Amino acid sequence: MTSIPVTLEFCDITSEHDSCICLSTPHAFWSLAGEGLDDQGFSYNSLQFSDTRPPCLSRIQVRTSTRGSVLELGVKPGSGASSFTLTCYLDVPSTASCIEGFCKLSEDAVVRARFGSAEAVEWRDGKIHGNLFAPTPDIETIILTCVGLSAGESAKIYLMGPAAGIEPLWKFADYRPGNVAFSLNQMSGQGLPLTAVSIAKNCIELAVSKDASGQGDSGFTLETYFNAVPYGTVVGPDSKGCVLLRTDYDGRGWLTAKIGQKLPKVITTNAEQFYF
Amino acid sequence: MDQTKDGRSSNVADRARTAQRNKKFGDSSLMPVNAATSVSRDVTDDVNGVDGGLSNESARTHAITMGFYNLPVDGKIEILIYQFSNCRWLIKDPVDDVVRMLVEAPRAEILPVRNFVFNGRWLNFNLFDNCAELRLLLLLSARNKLLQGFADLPAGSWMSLESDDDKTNITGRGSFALMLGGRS
Repeated sequence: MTSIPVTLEFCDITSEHDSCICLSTPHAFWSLAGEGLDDQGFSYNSLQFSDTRPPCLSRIQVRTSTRGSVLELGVKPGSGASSFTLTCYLDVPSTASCIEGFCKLSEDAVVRARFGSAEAVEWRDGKIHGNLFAPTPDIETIILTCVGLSAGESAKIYLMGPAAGIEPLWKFADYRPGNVAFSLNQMSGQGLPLTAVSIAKNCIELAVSKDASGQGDSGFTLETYFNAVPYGTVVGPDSKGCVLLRTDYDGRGWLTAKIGQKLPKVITTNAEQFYF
Repeated sequence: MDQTKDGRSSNVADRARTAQRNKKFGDSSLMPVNAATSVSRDVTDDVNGVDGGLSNESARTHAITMGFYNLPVDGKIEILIYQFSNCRWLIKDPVDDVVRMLVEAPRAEILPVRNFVFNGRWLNFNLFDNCAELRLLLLLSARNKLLQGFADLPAGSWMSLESDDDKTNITGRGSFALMLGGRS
């Protein structure tokens, strides 16, 4: 079996009726955790930073029925539409190249499902399908999240190796079919508040527009890769490798990095270890 | 600032600022290394093999229910089971027609949690509302009759931990134990 990390972004889920995602592919199961000790595993709304009120969910359930593995979401009637994220794993036979099943969702609701670092597929009420891709062993996905940066502020994020002579490099593509090469998104769906994105050998600089009043509060994410070839021997069996990240930003906002399936972690002005 | 040539720093003020930022962020899942993670790393050495020494046929499955009560706004909850007690959550194993995980707000209220993270070793989350209640059901595979773990609960709140035949109430911060399969 292979465990594939899954991110499910639920959009406009209404409180009219319960929702579910059922996998009908034989021997495909929703799983609650990966292999690593610090892997994110199952999470609910750990990727949404701007929420001021909880979503309409009253119940999350994972079970295996005769129809397949089911992820069920119960709602509180009358609590309005909401959006949220779930992360979990998909356990499939090593030979599986796709999964199938069905979604039970309200009419306008959408689920953006992402398997590993592949491009998200949109699922609506009805039959669903998703292609699965093998991970690239020498490249790691990194998601940088910036929240609360004020108008006119900028942040530099430095990438360093864990030991002398090891120099990781930003890599702005994973050129396999179906994979996202580089993406920059604002969480609230509004326009990006950035005036510049500068990329150097081991540094990314993000500058917030001077007239982006409040837009930086809801946060934005930058997703890319770095080469991970030289790091296999640096750390123990729990992690494939480690890099150091630091920022020069010291304002009221914060920056986080999520590498691979590890938990997101705050980037500080200290160079700190990020395992993957 | 004590800064090396490659830009690494060990400045104490920076570390304090990091802690302050984490506190402001209010998200236990994003802290650099929390207590539970540290402990889980420590106890891994005691695990006998990949499956935690549970390949023995005597391992039994137990439904464990956790009820959380009187939780404060932004309260942070952290639960860890000690792996050396030969127990592990059933997180990957498909079990037909059995609920493997349930997170539920009693009386169909809205789930009061955010940043809910469960990775098979430890569980933590933050709360939206005051006096919220939350019920969590997980399956546990155990080779012996005692579940041991560590809980960190906000002041004033409490947790009810229930197995097939035993129940214990937990408050504050510290270790806990729960009998599995009766007190025989």
